[in-house]
Amino acid sequence: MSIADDPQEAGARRGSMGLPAVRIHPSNLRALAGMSVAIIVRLLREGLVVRALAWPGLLTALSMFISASVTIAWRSNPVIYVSDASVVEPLKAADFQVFVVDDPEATLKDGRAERAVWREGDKLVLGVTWGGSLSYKAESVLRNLTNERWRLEVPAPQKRRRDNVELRPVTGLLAGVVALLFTLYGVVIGAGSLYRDRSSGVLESDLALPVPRWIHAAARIVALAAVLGPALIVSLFIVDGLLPIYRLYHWMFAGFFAAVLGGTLGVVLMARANSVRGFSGPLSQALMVSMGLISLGYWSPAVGRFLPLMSLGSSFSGNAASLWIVPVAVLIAAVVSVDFHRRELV
Amino acid sequence: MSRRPLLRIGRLLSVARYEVRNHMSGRPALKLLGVAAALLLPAGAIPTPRIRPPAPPPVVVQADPDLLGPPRPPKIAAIGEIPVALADRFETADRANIELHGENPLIVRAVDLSPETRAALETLDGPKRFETRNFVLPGRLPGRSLLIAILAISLLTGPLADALPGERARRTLEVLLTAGITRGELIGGKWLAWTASATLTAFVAAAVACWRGVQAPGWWLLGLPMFIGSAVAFGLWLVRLVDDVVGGSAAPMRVLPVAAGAMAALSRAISGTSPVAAAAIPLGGPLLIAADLYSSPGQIVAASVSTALFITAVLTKTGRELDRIDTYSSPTRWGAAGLTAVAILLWWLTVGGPGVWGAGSGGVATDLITPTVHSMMVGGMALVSCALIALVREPQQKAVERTRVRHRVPPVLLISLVAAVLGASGPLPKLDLSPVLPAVDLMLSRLRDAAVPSTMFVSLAAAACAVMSVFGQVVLFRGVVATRLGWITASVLWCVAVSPWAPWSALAASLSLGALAECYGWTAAFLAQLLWSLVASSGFGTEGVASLAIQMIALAIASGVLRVVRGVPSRHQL
Repeated sequence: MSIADDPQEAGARRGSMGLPAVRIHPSNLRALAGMSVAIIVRLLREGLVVRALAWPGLLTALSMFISASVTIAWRSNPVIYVSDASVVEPLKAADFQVFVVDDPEATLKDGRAERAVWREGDKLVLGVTWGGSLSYKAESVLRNLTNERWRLEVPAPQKRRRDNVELRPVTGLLAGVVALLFTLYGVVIGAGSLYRDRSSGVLESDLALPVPRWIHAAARIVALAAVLGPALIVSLFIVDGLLPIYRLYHWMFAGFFAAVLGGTLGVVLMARANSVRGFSGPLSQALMVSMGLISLGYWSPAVGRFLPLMSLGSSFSGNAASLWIVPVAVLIAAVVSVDFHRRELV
Repeated sequence: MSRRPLLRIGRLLSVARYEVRNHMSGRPALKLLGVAAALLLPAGAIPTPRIRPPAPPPVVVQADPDLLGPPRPPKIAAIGEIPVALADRFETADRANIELHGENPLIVRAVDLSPETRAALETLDGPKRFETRNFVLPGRLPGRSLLIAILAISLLTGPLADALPGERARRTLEVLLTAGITRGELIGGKWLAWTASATLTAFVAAAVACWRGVQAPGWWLLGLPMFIGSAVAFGLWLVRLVDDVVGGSAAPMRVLPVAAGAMAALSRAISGTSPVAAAAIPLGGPLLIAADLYSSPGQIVAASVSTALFITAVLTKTGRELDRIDTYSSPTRWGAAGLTAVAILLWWLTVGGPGVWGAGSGGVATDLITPTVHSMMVGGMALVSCALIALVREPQQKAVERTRVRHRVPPVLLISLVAAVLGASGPLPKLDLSPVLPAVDLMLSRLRDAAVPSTMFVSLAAAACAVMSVFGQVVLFRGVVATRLGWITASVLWCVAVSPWAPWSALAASLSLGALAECYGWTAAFLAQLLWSLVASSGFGTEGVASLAIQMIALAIASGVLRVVRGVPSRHQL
């Protein structure tokens, strides 16, 4: 055992506040790895954590799939209501399902149809509530039928690449929501796991181990990164599979650091709180602070993109996170570990 | 014997006072109020940009008479030949969204026509025999009160977690249950405390919204307490058996928004058919009233009645279950079946889901469909993640005790034999009972392709994706699920995952692989399925019923292997 690992020795070298001073020794890394693995296994055995990991990706993907199915089924329904029998055959030839009714205009205004054709004097009128490709196709048929002055030809749509800038606002929002959910769950998992360990006495027995105190906090942060990171990446891949996300890896990068820092925030605020304050107070504080930082990042992306958590907000406003968030995140983790090291945690 | 009344107002109020005093005193109360003010007051006070008061009219300056008159519309860029009659409205450009050809008639090629382009085209001379009219159906957008209602509910996460799970954790629930109050008074008092406080907070924000002119007063003010009351009752029911505050705060946070959103979507979906019935949907109807989307008298009455019934029913059920002792620290009902269900859903979403874009009219979204190879990689990763979670949660499975007999046939030979026969059957056959929608057909085809990938020789990346897909399937179904639910159940579940419309088309093959895994472990099934994919990638194999027949031969061989390895049951021995 090294001198730094010896609790008596560590106790002898107390800081100015009467609490042990931080000593980092290379052999502590082994303890850090072992403790991180133990916390990862414990986290994954908790139903709360497993559901939190599965929920964002599953919920987002399922919602997207259902929304897309309903929208596509509704928008690609080739139904048209008409009152003039002369337009029935040409429209049927263009693969429309034609229904002849007395007042197609009323059907359209009632919201029961998206397109309807009726005659006003010598003029044929096509009423539409949705200008999709099927409406243009109907217009093209009817303009040809009436020998109009100008005719419409609807060419095949241009090919879209998967990594499409055009879809960026929608896909960015989806990716951001997944990352935001992971950040919020990171806060809950970080604060909740420490609260549970503290109230059940597990933390007390952990702190009795002959390892420096900072390792306990560092191991929690490493474990949060190991648990939240892969889950976030798989979730974003799942969403990307359904609808291609523009600059997927940028979202993964910003989301990963936001989730880990959210968890770190939960750990530090729970560690700083008195145990009699319960769980709700530090949790709501951590949630507020994390949401506030994300909002600040959205409001001021020029600064936010260089700081973890805030960079998620700046990603929402279209500014990718800078690589500087990596050293900043490591620095924050170190500060949190040192702060943990100096606390009695009662 | 006199029967004790279910609810006594005095005691109900006492419980409510106890609840509020417990959680709303000292610094925590100040902090909660601070958080509420920080969230709700801006939500009520900040006006929506589009309903800001109009800007003052600009100062009118006497202009030069030559500059008077409507400005000339800007010219529209177009490709092709612009007719003389439209020369003052269009200009030629190298790149444009519109293409013009001919003169009588003028042919316009465009995917989309803007109103400006239409207006310009309508300036052409000649009789007008056709017209397109765009109708904007009247629709209402949700008011700011929707945000206020949601924020008011989100503030209740902590208090709800303390209300019942906190009492259970502190062992004070037993004390309350033995006090001279009924279950109804206990749960009703707690409900009243948090409904009243959240409603009060929401009303403050609503008053600010009305005062600032962000939203006009209306029936939505009645919707706020209705929604908050329903949500608090539902939240209390969610945490009724949880005995720690962490689990108690996570459950409402996760379930409540989804339940409210789903009920609101259901209500909106049926509002076209019956507006009154839509308002009566619990949680959803009151939420849409609070959002100022429903406001007819019939809807308000229906929502009030249904909310009262819903709250009474939910609180009664919650009160009856307070005595239950089978509580959980964090609801851990994720057994193997639940995990498999989630894994199958993820597999369908990742591999089959992208096919939904194939239903787009005119193939607009066709190129958005993620290639199957890419989906195989993601699907495999999702399955491996589920398997890992299961393995970490339940690492020590009791090993299956087998009565093995000695035999001289090497396992690799038997595995290769089954794999070779499966390979001869070709990729999974399409044996669907009836044709369905093109998009569903596409999804089913993607699922079949990912089950037994035939892209091994396309590229190195495609091969890696195929290996990941097979690895994910085998680790989950032949490894994790088989050791927990049995190899036959696992085999059937694999068929449901890879061929949901016609599970029988993969059943014999799945049972063959399951039997191999049962004999030699999941690595044997992995090897066999990988060899099967390699053969399928080479283009060898059959289709349809012939494929199924060959799968049956593989099953017969695998059954024989099972017998050889396990030994013959004693009752069959002579």
